[in-house]
Amino acid sequence: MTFQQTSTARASKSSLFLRSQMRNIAPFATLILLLIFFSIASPSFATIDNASNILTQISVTGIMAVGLTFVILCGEIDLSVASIANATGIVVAYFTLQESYVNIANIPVAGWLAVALALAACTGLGLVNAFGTTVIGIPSFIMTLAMMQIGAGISALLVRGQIAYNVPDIVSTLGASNVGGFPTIALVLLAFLLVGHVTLTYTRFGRYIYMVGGNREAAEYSGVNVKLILGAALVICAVCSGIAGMVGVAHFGSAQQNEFDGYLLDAIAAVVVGGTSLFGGRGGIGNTIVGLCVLGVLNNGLDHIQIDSFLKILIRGLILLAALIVNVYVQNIRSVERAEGA
Amino acid sequence: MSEDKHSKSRRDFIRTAGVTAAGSAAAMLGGLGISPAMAQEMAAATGRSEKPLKAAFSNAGLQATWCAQGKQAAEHWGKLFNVEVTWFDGQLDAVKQRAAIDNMASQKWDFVAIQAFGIGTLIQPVQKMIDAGIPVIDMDTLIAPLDKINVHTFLAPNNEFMGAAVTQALVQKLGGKGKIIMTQGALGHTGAQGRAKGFQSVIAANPGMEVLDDQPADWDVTKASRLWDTYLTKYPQIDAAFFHNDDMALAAYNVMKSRGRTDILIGGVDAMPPAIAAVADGRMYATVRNPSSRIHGGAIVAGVAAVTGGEKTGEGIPKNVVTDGPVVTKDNAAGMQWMQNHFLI
Repeated sequence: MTFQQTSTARASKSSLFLRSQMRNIAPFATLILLLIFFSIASPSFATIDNASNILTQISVTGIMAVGLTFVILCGEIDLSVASIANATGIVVAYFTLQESYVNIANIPVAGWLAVALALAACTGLGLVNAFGTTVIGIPSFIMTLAMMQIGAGISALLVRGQIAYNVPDIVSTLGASNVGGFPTIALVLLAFLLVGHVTLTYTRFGRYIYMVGGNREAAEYSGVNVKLILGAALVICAVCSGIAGMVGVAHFGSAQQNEFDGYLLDAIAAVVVGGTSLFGGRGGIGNTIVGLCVLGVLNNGLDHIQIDSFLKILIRGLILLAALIVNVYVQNIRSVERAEGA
Repeated sequence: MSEDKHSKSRRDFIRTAGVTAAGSAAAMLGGLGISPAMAQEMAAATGRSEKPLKAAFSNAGLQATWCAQGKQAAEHWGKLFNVEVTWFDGQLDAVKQRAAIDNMASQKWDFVAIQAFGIGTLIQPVQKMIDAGIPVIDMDTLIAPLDKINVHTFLAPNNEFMGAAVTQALVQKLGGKGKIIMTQGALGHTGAQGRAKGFQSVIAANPGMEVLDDQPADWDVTKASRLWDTYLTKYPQIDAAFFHNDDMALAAYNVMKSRGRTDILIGGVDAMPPAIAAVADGRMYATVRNPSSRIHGGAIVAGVAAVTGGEKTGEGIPKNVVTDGPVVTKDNAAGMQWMQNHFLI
């Protein structure tokens, strides 16, 4: 083998590696570019204080996104995450004693019971999603679209246009306090990310998730209970959303209808922009972390620079589109390579 | 006793003035501390309908506290004036409200009252009702420019005044000198545009005031919190903050509190009960009442006056009734809460 041949082989090997890692590299490069851009554009961006802001700001989205990563890895989607978060946040406030000026006919119970009822509520909604998708056979897109309405309906019914402010102490501690200057809501996010990562990477259940998303038929033939895995992913997602809703309500200081509506797009975007495939089977919590940071930095950075408010919406959309194009493009390259290999 | 005299003299005045139902409307709209029982008595004497009237109401969306309070007020005053109120929820969505108003227009009503979510989206069904001879009372937001559609009357606060009044209260407290941030509602919303205009007019008249930022949070408490995370990082000195509504103000207060920056004077708009409590205990400095009860209750009174008293636009009721509320500070917070409890403002 000549030197030229060796170097050509090495170059093609490294380009192959780069291409195979494109899904992970592209979002990370986007993040670095955004960090550099905003650091130059605004002196207040690259500060410790603002890093803490970004971490806090991605926490609610992040907890939702952990659950959503499980569902998307299965090749499904959950459009009810924000709605379930909202409903669960409202349920926990509904069962908490409110100030006299809050005009809601609520039922105050002990804090632990309120939290238990809220957890039961989000688990129940997740089970309905799971039942509809796996037993009845409704596509997850439609099933969770219906659940989005149901969650909004529960929220509306409980608060009846009013706003509740109080949540149990345990929820306030998790959502709206600091430990040594570090926001506890960010600690909750880190715990969720860690548990999510360990489950997906080091457990049999995690591998089954990837198998179901990668090739459902193959998984089924290998003896994996695909419906159970799908159902479990949807329930996990609903519980993550519910907990995100509870700590979110504590963090923002109020529980009200439509409060987390904007988080649906953010949560899906965080997962997909990070490089997890919308078609399932590829990606993971690591990707979700990068996606969360891209969105967090983008949202926060745009607040730091003086820019036309109308233009901001467009910029967010364009960056999201670019990331999605990369995602699908990389997926296509892989499919072609696979076909060529076969 | 003196209260009795007061109500009698008021009734005498109304009779003398020769105004029938509109008189009670004026009295109620005046928000002069009339209890519901007195109002019922007055309603009977002046404009209460003998046969039950059927009215249809729609406001922007019942998920908004302001709209939910308006519904309660309309139902409360409806009971007093023998009006059965049917509600068509706008759901904070122009398309959904249009469908609701289309349904409304296919039924028979003695009068209807509508707060449009989007200007110009309801013209056709509203015109259909006007053509059928149904008095249409426009509440808070224009259904269409008043020269384009012949509504019975338009009951609305002046958003520019509200923005200016609260900003003025903040500026005055600062002695005309300081750094201020305005957090806007949705930029496309006429209410937000008016409030911003009012804010700007006061700032222009006070050269000592510096506006640090004026980004919109779209009425969204999560966005308001995010913006204020940034502001508190970016600006070491912020003296005052004006929010286009109280919900955003209260959300931002949480952020300020968590960073120990509660020295910032906060002003809001709406003066709903949670904000009144915040003003009373010093979390907020001031807010201005956007009188939901006065507007929705006023629509009942205007509707009854039109049906039973034959009141016509320009004859008895003007085309445009400005329903401004006062600035609420610690001094008048308790009274404002009481008036809201009784749907007077």
